[in-house]
Amino acid sequence: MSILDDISSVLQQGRVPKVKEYVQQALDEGIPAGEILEQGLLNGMNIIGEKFKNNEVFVPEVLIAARAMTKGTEILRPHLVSAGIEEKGTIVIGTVKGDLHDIGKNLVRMMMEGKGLKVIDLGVDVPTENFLSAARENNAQIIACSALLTTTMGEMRNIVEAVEASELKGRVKVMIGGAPITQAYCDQIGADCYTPDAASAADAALELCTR
Amino acid sequence: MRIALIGCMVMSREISYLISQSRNIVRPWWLKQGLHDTPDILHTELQRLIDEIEQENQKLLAHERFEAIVFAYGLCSNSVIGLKSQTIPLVVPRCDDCISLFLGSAERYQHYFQELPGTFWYSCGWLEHGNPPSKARYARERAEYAEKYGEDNADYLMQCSSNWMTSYHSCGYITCPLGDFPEYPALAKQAARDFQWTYHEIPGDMGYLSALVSGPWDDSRFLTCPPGNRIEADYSIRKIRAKPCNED
Repeated sequence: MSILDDISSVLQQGRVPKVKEYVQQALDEGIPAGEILEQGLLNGMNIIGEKFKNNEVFVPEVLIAARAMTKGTEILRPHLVSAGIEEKGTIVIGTVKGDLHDIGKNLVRMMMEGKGLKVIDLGVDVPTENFLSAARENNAQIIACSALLTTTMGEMRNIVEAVEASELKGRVKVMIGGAPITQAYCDQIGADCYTPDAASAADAALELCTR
Repeated sequence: MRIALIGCMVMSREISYLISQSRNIVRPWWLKQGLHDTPDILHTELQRLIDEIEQENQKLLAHERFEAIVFAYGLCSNSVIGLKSQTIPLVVPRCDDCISLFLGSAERYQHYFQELPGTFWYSCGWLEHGNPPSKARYARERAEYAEKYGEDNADYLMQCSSNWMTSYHSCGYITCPLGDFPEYPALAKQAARDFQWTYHEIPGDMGYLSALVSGPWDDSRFLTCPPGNRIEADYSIRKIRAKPCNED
């Protein structure tokens, strides 16, 4: 097995110290950072993402794998930057006003970061205007909002309408997700994208940013 | 009137009492508490019970048949969206979840949602059937994580799963109008102390549940979805509406 396979394998087990060790070893062996990211870390994360979609693994496994990916990427980042590998897009993410749940949102953030996207995390209970101002300040392509509660999902409509009514219209896409959210709701409120899980959210965000 | 009631065990004490007092003849089917966390599974279970009740109904004598299937459920993570029946009307409260049903109205829940933002709700049923936050629960979870994923990951997973608690400010204990066992509010008070939440005791009101069991099913509080229709999300204060299946 190559070192990149080893990285993928220990990442899937969420073994942070091993991931760091193997990533460093791969760099020492002279493997380009981009290759370590794609064929080691992202390969492992994609396998976990697929397994999660198929109910073969659950949230804790995805969380520890995503954390291992974040730690591995931290080691790679200076090398990626010096190799001229740029961030592929910028996303502003947060849980909507009135909603204090963040596990899903954090997972989406880590998955997006794994795809090489820059993610500005506004946290939970985020008012509509904060999403818009952060998108302006960071020149973001996407506002991604999360809600766990049927009592708070209505806030997403306000965000879509605020973007429509602002100069961000046409420039910033709105992505939505969370347990009670559906494609039908996305269509109803006129959001740009709905995805049912964190892995497909990251895929969709990358596509929207590089389209 | 004979009705079939599909309910969540979290409301079983209140509903069982109301059934005993009702002019209606009510047969309950109970589902375990907590299925709202997996809305797809809850939806499948609800539809399976509707189908089962309708099949059984065909075999009954006319005077024995159910005239309605009522749901002791709110939207519950939108699990009720898409439910349909062939022969018996479905009656569903227009509310988000059981907190409205425990408090007596969707308006009263909305009031507290605004008044006491970041409140975690406790009730007799939640303590008996649910797994609300407590020190003991977190100790159990951490031990499980440590065994499966190692100590370092266990700390991380506990941090992930309890992050939200620091954003909550209040613990709302909804009293049971039938009377509470003293250990239940005591458990809620203990959780409030453990997590630095302000403790509020809010009187429960069985009015909404009573109307569910005995009627009237006024259109402002309940959707009556006729046979051959399915329940559709409305995304307004009315929450849900009926849509003919042949328009799909």
